[in-house]
Amino acid sequence: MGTDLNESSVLQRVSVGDADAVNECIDRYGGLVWSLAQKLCPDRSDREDAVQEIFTSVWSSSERYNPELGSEATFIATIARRRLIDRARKKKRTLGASELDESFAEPMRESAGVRANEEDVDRAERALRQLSDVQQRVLRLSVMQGLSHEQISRATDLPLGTVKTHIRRGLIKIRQILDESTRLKQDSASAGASGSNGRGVPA
Amino acid sequence: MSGTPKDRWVDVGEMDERDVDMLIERALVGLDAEDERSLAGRLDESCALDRFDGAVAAVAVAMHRDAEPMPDEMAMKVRALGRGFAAARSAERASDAEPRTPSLKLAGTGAPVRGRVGVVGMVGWLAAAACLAVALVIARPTPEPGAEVRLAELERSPDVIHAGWAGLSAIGAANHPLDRGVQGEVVWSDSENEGFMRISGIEPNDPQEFQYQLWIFDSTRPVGDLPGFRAEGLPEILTQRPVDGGVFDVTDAGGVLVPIEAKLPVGEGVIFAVTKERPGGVVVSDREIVFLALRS
Repeated sequence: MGTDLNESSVLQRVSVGDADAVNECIDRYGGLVWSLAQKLCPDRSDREDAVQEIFTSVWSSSERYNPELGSEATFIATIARRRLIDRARKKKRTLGASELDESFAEPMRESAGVRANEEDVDRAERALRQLSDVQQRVLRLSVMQGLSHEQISRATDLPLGTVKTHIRRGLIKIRQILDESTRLKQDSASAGASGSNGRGVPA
Repeated sequence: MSGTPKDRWVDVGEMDERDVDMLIERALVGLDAEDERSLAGRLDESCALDRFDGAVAAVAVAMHRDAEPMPDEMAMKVRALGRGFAAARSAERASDAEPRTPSLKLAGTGAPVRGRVGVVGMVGWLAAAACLAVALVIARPTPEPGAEVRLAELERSPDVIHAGWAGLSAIGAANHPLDRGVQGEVVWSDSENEGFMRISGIEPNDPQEFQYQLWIFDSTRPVGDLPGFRAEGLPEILTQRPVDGGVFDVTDAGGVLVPIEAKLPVGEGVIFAVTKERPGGVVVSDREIVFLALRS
């Protein structure tokens, strides 16, 4: 499931104003963006503004996307999360849904909706499944529901320090796995051509 | 940034524990401005700043892989926005392909602007910024009778700002012919995402011929999307795509009160610029600023 760097990605085509690619971007990632916004932005009208802001930001940043450094889905989710976090902080409200999604208690399972060229997401998913059930649950509450450490502690009856440790260890592990993958890709790319510049995620 | 990320790669194990904690907090719930600046100052050049964001985003994608599609009504709105973006980006690229002359002129005045190519160029953000306006630009009627009441309420907002209008002479260019000595101000609240413009001293418009349009530069939005408008001595923010504040008409030279209708949330409006546009707004602006206001 490798990324074909010779094939223009949707975002690369968006960056030159390809109207079909813009629609493809909405078709392919609209559900992801909407779902992120649903979880992290409880107010419906605010959520609609947020989704428009996110897509505008994604398209505007599309020329910065570098397929060597990550999937389009991760690039878009990075922008979406940052925008949603910024909006929540500006409104001085707690990030996250007002009601807990019961799915937080489920361990990570194999997904049916896998898209092509999401090697980094596959790696993250595999890394998640290697974590204990309780670690997965804590990360899900943090990443998916946007809950603070204190809220997670209350929701799970785990001590605050334990929550922090689970999140810290889990994310460090996932990051190290993704870093290693990126490094290998860059080594491979630099062996045949000049290396990339820029970051894997938008500034 | 130059060089490759690999050149500056920093493993978690090499990083300060406190920085790791802050990076994780930043990726999950964000940091306040002071912590953000502090962290960026320490880590930006090590290229470590973003990678927890990427890890959290990859996890988020994995957790949302079975997401339901976006509702149709929402998708239609985003598609309309997308059509505007694509048209504006195409036009921007076509414009970039044309040779630039070293001495630009301010549209509509014919007046050369010495040493202010960037200022004149800043008008060009509109070529692409119109992407935010397409399908959203709606000519507004005369303010509702309650506008003065709402303005009075807004004035009590703790973060309300007042920014006085200025002609183009304020930025070293010749004043626009429609500017008859513009006066008035922008009254704006970031927290309310709402504001009003008091304007007098400009030429009334015939809405069948042209309309005025407001654009808001937001210090919290990304900059650098339009690097062609970067110039020494001018703020970096002029390279961003500004937020459309809506089109409006001036029917009375004695003065008007116009509600601002920002089409996207504005974090911190710092520059407000009014342009002359064809009726109903534009996909590609004719790049004609009439007057502007700067937040002090």
